Amino acid sequence: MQHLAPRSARAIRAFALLLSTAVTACGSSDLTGTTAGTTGGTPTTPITVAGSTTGLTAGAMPAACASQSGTLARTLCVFNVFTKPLSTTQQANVQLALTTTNAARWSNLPVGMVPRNGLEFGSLSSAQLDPALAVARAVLSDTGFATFQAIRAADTYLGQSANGYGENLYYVAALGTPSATSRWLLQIGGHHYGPNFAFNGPSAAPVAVTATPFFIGVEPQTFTLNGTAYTPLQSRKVAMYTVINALDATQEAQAKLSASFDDVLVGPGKDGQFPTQQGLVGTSLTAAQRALVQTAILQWVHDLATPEANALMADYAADSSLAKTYVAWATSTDSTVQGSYLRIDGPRVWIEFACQGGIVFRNQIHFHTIWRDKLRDYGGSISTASVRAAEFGRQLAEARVHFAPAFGRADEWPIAG
Amino acid sequence: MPHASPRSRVFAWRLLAVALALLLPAVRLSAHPMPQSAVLLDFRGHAVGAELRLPLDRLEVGFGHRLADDPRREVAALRPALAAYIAARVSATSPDGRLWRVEVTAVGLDDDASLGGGRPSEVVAHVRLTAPPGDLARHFALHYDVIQRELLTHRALVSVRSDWDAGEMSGSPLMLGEVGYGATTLAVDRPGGSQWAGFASVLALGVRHIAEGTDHLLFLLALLLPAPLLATGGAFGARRWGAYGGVRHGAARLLRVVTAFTLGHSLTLAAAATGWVRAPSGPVEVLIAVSILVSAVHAWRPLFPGREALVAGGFGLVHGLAFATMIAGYGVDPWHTVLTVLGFNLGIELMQLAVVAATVPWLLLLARTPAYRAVRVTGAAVAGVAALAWIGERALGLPNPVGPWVEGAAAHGPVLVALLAVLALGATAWDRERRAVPPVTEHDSTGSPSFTFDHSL
Repeated sequence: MQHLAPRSARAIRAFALLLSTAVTACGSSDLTGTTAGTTGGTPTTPITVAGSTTGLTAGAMPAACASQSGTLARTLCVFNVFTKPLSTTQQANVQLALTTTNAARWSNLPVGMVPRNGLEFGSLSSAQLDPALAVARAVLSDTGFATFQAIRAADTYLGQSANGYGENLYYVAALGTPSATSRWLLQIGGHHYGPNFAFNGPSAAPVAVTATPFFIGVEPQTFTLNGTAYTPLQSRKVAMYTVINALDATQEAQAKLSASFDDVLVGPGKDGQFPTQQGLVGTSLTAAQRALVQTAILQWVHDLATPEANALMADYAADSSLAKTYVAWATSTDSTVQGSYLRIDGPRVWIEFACQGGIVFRNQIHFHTIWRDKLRDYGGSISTASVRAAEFGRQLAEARVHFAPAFGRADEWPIAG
Repeated sequence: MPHASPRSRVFAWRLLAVALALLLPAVRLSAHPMPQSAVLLDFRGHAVGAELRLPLDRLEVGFGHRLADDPRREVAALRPALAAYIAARVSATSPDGRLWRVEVTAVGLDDDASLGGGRPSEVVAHVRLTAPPGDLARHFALHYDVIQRELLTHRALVSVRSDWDAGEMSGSPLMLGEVGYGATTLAVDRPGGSQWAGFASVLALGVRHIAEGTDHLLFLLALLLPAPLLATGGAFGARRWGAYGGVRHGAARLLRVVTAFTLGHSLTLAAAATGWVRAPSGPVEVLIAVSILVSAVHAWRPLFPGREALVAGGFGLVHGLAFATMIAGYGVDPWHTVLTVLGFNLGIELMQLAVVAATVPWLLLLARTPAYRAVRVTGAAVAGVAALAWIGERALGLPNPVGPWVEGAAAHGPVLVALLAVLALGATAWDRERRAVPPVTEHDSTGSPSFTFDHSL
């Protein structure tokens, strides 16, 4: 029957895909878990657990770039080392035009629902992947790189239970021509990791490199992969809930938002749509409480390379800024409650922390967070008006998923003009 | 971590992977209700029907009452309050600023158990938006704030499900956009249209449904296969398909079968489309597969010789229920429902007649030759295997490649008809030649004066 059979055909295809990815995922975990000297297995290149592509020793600085000083010069150098040996097709794919539509193409959704810009890690050889990781390492701090690798590991972990997740479903793209003097963007991300590094040229000092919008989330909160235990967003969670739990009863009531939130509010596609400041203003906090706010902000900012992170913190955490920085919460001040939501809303810095229900592990809370800069998202000059086009593509992808069970032919959906 | 036995570990992983792969399709499809709402618009003259699909656990947050613990009881108890909650959050305005009338006409739960793993996962509300006098209800601003007024991060995807006059009846909602944080108003602009555009659209839908609906065709063709023949023998088991019954016999039987099938499915299509009859789609799909199996067996050995029309009519009733699901939920008014049923049914008939016209002459020709037995038995076998595969898939949830394979073959319908034609012409020519040279040997023991053949198997 026409309205039944395509559905079953799709189910069979999905089944086959799932089977192949499940076996592949197991194969790769087998590879990374095989240590040198293990007997009985097929001889493989000796790879230690730390040598997994989500390990911390991956992405070593290429020798050619060791002499470069400054985040901008170093990242530019590593990016060129990464792209030079790529095929012309790969080079064309990694390099996009710097347009608002391209810039807005990042998401908190699995890459199967919202395609990302650039080259997929999974399409790179291991000789190509390591320099790609070195690009991330160049623009991130050690802490930031560890977080990036942990979020990728979380996707590999998810990939063992569900289809469409994995450390290689990550992408790298340059928007605009990488340059020491003019603006370009670097996107390295995938599901639950969406930074937008903007290289603003030397005239943009003191902050030549910015990182926002920077989405970061994780599911599950804690997991063990290849013998390594991960809790990627633990320090963010602790710092945020310490702020809220340090409020007295009156302050807590003032900081409460009446609305509810099941995700970050100013997420993908919502560039520039910051609401009026709400909650408890910084002047109503004690100095000690403001210091906690500063620590919380730092948990996001210090993922960026240290000189730039310090420069941003000098502004975000200046006394004059903290005095105008609001803290707010909704639904619950307990991170184990679904719907618990925290916000830090400064003159420039914007941080949201949302506790969502689990998607793959339904009985566990998972986190979505975002760091934005009201003045310098995308480096500061991307208009928000034409973000809608990219947004519509995302909506359509979601609509297909939504209606697929009810209508059998979602693949054929037309797009309204 | 220990790696004492990588090989056994690999094996264990693979085993786990296979086990997960077997489990996951069912688990993930049922356990992943979407977090956002959907709004499906049906354009009906001067009014627009909006079907709101609201995820229960999100609606709880917006509405402020528990709903997901025991949805049937809780929703039933809070129905009027839910209707008021929704009515206060949906509105529409004409381009000149006039407000539309908003009525929440129904609040219920999704009854498609497959979406929620056996439990309802969404509240389904029907809202009627009526344009002010003189407004054609083609252009308006939809203001939508259900759930998201309270749950700020909630979003609703708005689509056109049916727009009769614009010929938008495809069954695939046309996405208009999203309402959510920062954008709670959506501009709706529908092109002007006519009733003819809509009628042509449903007619095309009917044609396409049969062209692609392999199972309907298979049922009909399997039933037509033995129509030109006469049954022999008495009790079942002894009965066989026998001699060719002649053109008049064959044509009359074919006509009766096709007419009965049409009458049967038209009756239930109309009854179901107008809401007089409701049937769960799962059992209907299984019954359709059973109907193919029955007609396949009948094509092999006579089960009900001479009563094919009765059987065709009976199973036609079942097929009609399935046809109705194609045009169900279009939510049109009575006049448009009548037009929809007429147009859709006409499309079905046209396509059905085209298939009969393309195949039956060759079947009648073939039936005069000894080759017909092979054709009939092969056809019966193919239909029987497909029917069993569909029964397995639809009743027992056993996915298998037979259904898609048969559909793939049916997609090459013209090639199959051409093959049939070549076969019919070839067999006829060979038969003529055989008849032109009467047997001269003394071993001819048939002594039969006629040139009909025994088709018994």
